[in-house]
Amino acid sequence: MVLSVNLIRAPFDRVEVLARLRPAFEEQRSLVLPSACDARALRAPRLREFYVANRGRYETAELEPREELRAFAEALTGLRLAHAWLRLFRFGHRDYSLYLDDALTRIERGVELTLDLSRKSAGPPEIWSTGLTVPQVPGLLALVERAPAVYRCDRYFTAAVGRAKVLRLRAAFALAD
Amino acid sequence: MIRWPDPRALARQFRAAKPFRHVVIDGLLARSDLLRVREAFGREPQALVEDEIYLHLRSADPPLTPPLRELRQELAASCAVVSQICATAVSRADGSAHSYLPCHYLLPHSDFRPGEGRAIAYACYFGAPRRGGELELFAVTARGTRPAKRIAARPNRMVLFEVNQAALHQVREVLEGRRDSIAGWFYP
Repeated sequence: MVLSVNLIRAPFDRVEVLARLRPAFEEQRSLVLPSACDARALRAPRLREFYVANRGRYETAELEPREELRAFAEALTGLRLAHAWLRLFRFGHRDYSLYLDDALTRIERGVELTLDLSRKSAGPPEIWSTGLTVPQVPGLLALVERAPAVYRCDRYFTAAVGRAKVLRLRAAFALAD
Repeated sequence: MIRWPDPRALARQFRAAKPFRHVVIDGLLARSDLLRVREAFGREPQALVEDEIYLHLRSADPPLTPPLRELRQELAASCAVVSQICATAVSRADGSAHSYLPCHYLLPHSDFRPGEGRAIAYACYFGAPRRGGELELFAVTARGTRPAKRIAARPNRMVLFEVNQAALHQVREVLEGRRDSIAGWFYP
């Protein structure tokens, strides 16, 4: 069976493949999948600038829910999930997002997906308070279980990033049960 | 070693400074002392430290190299004059040697830590980067935060500023060259 997705690349669009990955998620409470998403499936929306010095600096847009992402997260985790939000983040030189920014915008319990829709690998990783480091690699997908003590930050983008932009699409799902 | 200018004039500047109370003091050391301290940075053992808001090199507290250690001790012995400048009674100080290389930074934050007692922050600069590395102070208003003042990390310059939750500041990313400083806090 193939999920009706277009952001998720094969073979991660197959329910039976995701079911086989579930034990790894259940053990780690997170999963990082290389080459799992395709940037071409997303039309870049208009982004607004965000800058609050002790929270973060980036461009962002609030997007309509995408059912295929919820179905993907449910198939991988085995949990019943409800859409909370879908946001696109664009980072360039001097941008960042701190734990405080996450604390004020996250869901406390549920699951969060990050899809790296960038064209190239040029930026710093996404860091989680659990110790999980998600490298900035185009096509990488990270699924993380969110709990009250779990926070995320996007490391500062130094001049080493040059003119490159990093696109992170994030989908948050609350527990439906 | 430290040549303090007239504390009364510095106190006036400190009191009047925006976006929060601070003062910039140039010509802190005599030339011979300045050269000794600058040269010592090349020999000071430092470790690369990184967390959510910073990436830079940092020494032990106090530093191990004699000229840097002496300067740090002399700063700690300057509590009376610092108290006078900042109108805040302080009795001790800590401090370590910080070096920022290209792509090193310290993002916007407040030094306030409940229970730690940091009263006045200080930074003494001895090596200036060619680009970047400025100390940037932010204004915090009901509408948000905005960069309000940039202070270049010029050699032989010291900055003192108050510590509270609204005293938001950062070290802008060093883009070229190297930024060397001794920095820490004065405590009640």
